[in-house]
Amino acid sequence: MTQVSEAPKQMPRPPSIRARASRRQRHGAGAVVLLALIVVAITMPMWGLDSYTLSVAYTIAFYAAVAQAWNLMSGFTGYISFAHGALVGLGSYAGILTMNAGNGLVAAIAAGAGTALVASLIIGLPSLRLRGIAFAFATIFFQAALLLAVQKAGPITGGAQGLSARDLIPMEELLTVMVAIAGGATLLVYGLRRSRLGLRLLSIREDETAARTIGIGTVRLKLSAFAVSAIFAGAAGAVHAFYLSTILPENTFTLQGSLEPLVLTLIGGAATAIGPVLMAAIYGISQEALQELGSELHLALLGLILVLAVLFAKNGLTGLAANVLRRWRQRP
Amino acid sequence: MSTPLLDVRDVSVQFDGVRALNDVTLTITDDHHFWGLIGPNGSGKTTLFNAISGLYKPTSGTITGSALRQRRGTLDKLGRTFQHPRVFGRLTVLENLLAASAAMNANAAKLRADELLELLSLTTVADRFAEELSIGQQKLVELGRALMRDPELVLLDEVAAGIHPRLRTEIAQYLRTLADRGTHFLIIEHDMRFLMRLCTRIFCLAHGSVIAEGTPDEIRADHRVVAEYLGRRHG
Repeated sequence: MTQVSEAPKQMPRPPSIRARASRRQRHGAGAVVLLALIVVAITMPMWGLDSYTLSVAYTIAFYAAVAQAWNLMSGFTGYISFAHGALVGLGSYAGILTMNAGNGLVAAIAAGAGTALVASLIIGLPSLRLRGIAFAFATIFFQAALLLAVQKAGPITGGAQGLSARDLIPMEELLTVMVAIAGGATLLVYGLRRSRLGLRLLSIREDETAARTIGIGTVRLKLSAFAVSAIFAGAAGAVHAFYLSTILPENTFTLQGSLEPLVLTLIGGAATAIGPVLMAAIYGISQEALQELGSELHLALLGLILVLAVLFAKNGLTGLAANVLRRWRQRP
Repeated sequence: MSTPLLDVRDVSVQFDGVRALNDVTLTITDDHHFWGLIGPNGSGKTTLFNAISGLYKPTSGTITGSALRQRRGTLDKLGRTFQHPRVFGRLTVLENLLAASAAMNANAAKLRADELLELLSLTTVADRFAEELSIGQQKLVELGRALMRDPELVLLDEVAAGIHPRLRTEIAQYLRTLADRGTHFLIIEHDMRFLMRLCTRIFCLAHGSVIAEGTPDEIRADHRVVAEYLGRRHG
């Protein structure tokens, strides 16, 4: 065994009671800011804004909801899902089918969430018992298989023709519901990051073997996280179907739909509440702002931000901001 | 005979034709607080730890004992550390400990974590990310994390290796304090001074089998141990 001659590092002074209290206050302030943002977003339809602005706000809320859904599973456990686009798509199909059968929006959302939950168990039960890459492969396979199944199940899914919603739902209502879903997922991420349950999920990401040796039931936790994540993705999908009003399989089960939440969360900051919301806003706004220059230009911008984040912000933009803030506080 | 904390019976572990453990039998009881496990590199010490802690399934044999009681499918009364510390790097030191507190209520967990941080002199770095600490401090974090659930038996894999001698002495002190509170330890260690001072009962493994068991003096005098391990270490 190599002897490392290493003296114990110089210990910094312990954080004072005042410092700890101030940290608690900052956490409390974070929750208040988050709640205020959700209230502001959820009341937007009452401000008399034009439909274009509401539509941009809706798009941001949708990206935020799906990114946070991904965050709840992959951001915390480190198990990368490529199936969230498919889970959203499944929620969309279940939502439209439920409403076209004569049910209301709430029933449609419940159906979307429930269907995605069942799908998460089908993907997760075999693959999350294994470690490492098996889950990622299972999600890729699921996405491809689901596209094929939906295309072949014409009598139910409309096949390649897709499905159309029989009733239109006002934009204001869709925005309110999507903000509620995104806000709920964001608050859950916020609470989870500050709870011992969240620490157990994060310990899977950090070192699953070590996590098992301290009494963490990793398989059960991973399955639960994926199930909750799928519920949010499916619910968001059900609402999104009514925003689109017509859904087609090749537009619904796309790789881009699964990569967006992944990239938005990783750039924004995995397992953080604000990171994915921030990136959803940047992505949604840039998508509109760059529309005139080129329809897919926002994807190039996202790619550029991703490269910069990989080079300079290993823990995402939120991690970078936290580091800068910490150095600022520690300056002499 | 005292209650066996750990009873390993005829355990073999085989990987693709390589027999890492070969009918290992050993019993850890509460008669001694410090048990040692020595042997040359590749003798199967860490494999035995992995089998005891459920990371490897034995090819044959049984591993039982009061320290292997399960709670919701996980080992509740067994703690372990790793040869190279496996801390949760992007969690703070305090969070590393709290991650291991599933069975306690929040207040009890915080109190236990604070107590262990103080005992292990980690209070000053409680809010630092574990990846920012020295290897010695990371070993203490890992030890604290393993102790959070108040285990009956802790498997320590080279806890003193590669760290400053002063910290090594401190670790020995911490371990004695913890032993006074009723914790038992099975320790893999190549630092014979550290091990022989601490342990009152020692096993020697070679080629995947237990070749000797005894007190430190008996182990030092055992010609098989000298031939397989002690006599070769500085040769």
